[in-house]
Amino acid sequence: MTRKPKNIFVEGPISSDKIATSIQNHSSKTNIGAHSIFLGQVRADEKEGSTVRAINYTAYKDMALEKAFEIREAIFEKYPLTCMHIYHSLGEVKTGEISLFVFTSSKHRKAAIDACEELVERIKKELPVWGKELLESNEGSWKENT
Amino acid sequence: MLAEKMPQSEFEFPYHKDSNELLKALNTKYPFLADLKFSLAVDKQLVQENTPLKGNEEIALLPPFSGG
Repeated sequence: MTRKPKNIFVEGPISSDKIATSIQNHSSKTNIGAHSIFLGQVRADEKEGSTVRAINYTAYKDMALEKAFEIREAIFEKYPLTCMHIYHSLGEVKTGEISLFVFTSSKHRKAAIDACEELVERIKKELPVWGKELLESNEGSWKENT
Repeated sequence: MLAEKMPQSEFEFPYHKDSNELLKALNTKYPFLADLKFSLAVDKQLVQENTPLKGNEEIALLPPFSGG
């Protein structure tokens, strides 16, 4: 089976509904024995004497989707996974809301857990996505992943 | 921050034979680039080493990523 690049971007925050539905959708795949989920939540950091109230995400979409596809293929190659899903927000996501949802499934837990962790690390490091922190004081400052 | 400083978000730029020459020309035209951290992508591929150019490539200046 050949896999094609698919959209990973969601406008605004990722709802708990979407996450629940995504889990539910796997109930028919009874060869799965383990799911691993990572959720990235927007944190109210203190910045420049103010507090972050939201992050506004932008992306170099075409490149990000190509890169996400490349990462997907590499992870599928490396771990015996049944399923893999990546969702990333674009636009404004308020503190306390979810902006990244990574979901891996496998027969046994180790592959799902390890793949999920590696995916998150690679997504943060390699996807051309930018988050501008919007402050309570209305000023904005650009983030940088470390 | 980078996009906010550029005169336009997308534009045509005169031809240069490789990515090093292009970078040099960009730095001359936009001196503020010297103070900014960014990497270069040619046709959606991150430039790791000097890359020859044909002239019809899509070039992108990418500030440090901060997704997730």
